[in-house]
Amino acid sequence: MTTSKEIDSVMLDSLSAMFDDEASEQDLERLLEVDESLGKPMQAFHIIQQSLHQELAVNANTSVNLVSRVRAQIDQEDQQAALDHENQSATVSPIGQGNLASQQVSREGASSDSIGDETTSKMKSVWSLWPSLATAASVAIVVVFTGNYVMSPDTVPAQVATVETPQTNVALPVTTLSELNKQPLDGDNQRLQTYLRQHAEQATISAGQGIIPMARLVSYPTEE
Amino acid sequence: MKQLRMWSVYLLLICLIPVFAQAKASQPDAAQLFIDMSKSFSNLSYDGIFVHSEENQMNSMRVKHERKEGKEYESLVDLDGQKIKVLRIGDTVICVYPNESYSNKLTIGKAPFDRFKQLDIDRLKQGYRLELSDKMGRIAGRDTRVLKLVPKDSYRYGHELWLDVKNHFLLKHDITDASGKLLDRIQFTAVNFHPNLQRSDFIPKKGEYSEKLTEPMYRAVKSKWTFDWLPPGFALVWPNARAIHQGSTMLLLSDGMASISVFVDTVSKPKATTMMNMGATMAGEKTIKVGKQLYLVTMVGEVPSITIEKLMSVFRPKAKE
Repeated sequence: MTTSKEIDSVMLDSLSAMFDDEASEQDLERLLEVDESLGKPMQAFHIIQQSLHQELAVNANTSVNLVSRVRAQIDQEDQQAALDHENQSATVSPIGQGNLASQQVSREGASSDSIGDETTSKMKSVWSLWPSLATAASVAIVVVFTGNYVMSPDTVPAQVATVETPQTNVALPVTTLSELNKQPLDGDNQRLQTYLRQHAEQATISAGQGIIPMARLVSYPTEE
Repeated sequence: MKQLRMWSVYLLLICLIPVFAQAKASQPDAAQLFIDMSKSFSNLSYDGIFVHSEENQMNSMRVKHERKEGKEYESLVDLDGQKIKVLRIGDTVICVYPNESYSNKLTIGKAPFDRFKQLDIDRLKQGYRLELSDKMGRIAGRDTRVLKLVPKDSYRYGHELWLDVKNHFLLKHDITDASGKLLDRIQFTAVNFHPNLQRSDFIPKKGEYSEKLTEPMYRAVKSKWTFDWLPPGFALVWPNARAIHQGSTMLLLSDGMASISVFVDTVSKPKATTMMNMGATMAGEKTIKVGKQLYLVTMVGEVPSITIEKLMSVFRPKAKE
């Protein structure tokens, strides 16, 4: 089992490279290896993130590891590159300069002109999984690194003046949380369940009744 | 003769003064009793079974606590199912949920369970009137007195705490709404304050976890959000927000009794404003737009719906510094 201390320094470099779009294959391999040790809680967060951004249909039983997906993609690329090399008929897709993550990558073929192109092809494929990998990586940061970091500016609100908060004077109808167990499990459902748990855990710490308030966890919807 | 009778009455009154004074002295201060209750959870050893009920649900649990060599050991086990098990050793909390994917381990930086040594009773008094009831009771075979936390406004629930007369341990806790309706109850049915617990009682058994435990360390981040208003007595528990996953942060509010967790996520599509409850727990969701970015704000707490609604309406990003 890789401990958090062991992966701190190497992960920091690799993650930094990833966020700077300078990740090498070694960096990716390192991240993938570390990812194995992050466990299922990371997968839960990943599902939440998917749900929030409506990237994919969420299936709680889809425990297909992110690492496996990336690896499968890389393996597929290896096979494809070998096939293209044999055929010598690949169409070279122009790759512009700049941020790989932001490019729409053409998957028609890979260049056989240079070794670097094959590597780039792998990188493109991996970057096509960027949202997932970035999510995993960011969770990895949360999981692995301690200390006080300043939040990345992706959630920095631009101006207060632009805030739109619809006001209502009518009390909202309240539905029972137990209904969650009767509803089909979707990302919103799972996200709320996760937050209920986190609330119970943290509220226990500030409630002054020892561990007893954790008893409320039992009543929260938990069906997976 | 009449003068002698008068002197007799005076003498009797003088003799009774110490008795009245002692009776007054034995009536503990309500605030001090609340502090003693909070400390009893970490200072006493106990092994007890309690029932938790809310709405139409009821569940029994077993709690064990021991302090050995300055370190606290605590466990909470669900007796009616296999739903959860919570272990605490020192400042590490291990939660085991039915789905093993949710097994996790929280390590808390500062000694949080000792925080009530510095309990801010003045803050608690901003939101509640502390009343020591004349009502005496008997819970789990032990004599109790009742401490009431009467809310001063409609932004929090009322609490009735049945405390052990001898050691001030909380044996029963009722949460009620403004109409007096019972929302949530925790009540011991049996408790032993000399349990002779061993360290092995708190260590996970071999094979109990099929998955490796991970250690999510929450990252403190500068909060970009603020409230235009807070109910009296409520304040942020942490000076900073906590990053919980990509782009999402958590804040925690407390008035010394009730807690409200605030989660902020970036989203691509708006979600309808909703309110949900389970017993005393209320959860609200609301999408707010800042510039072109949508944020989903989720608030969870043991407070009335009006509190969550109002907090969601005054939750805003901080002005640029």
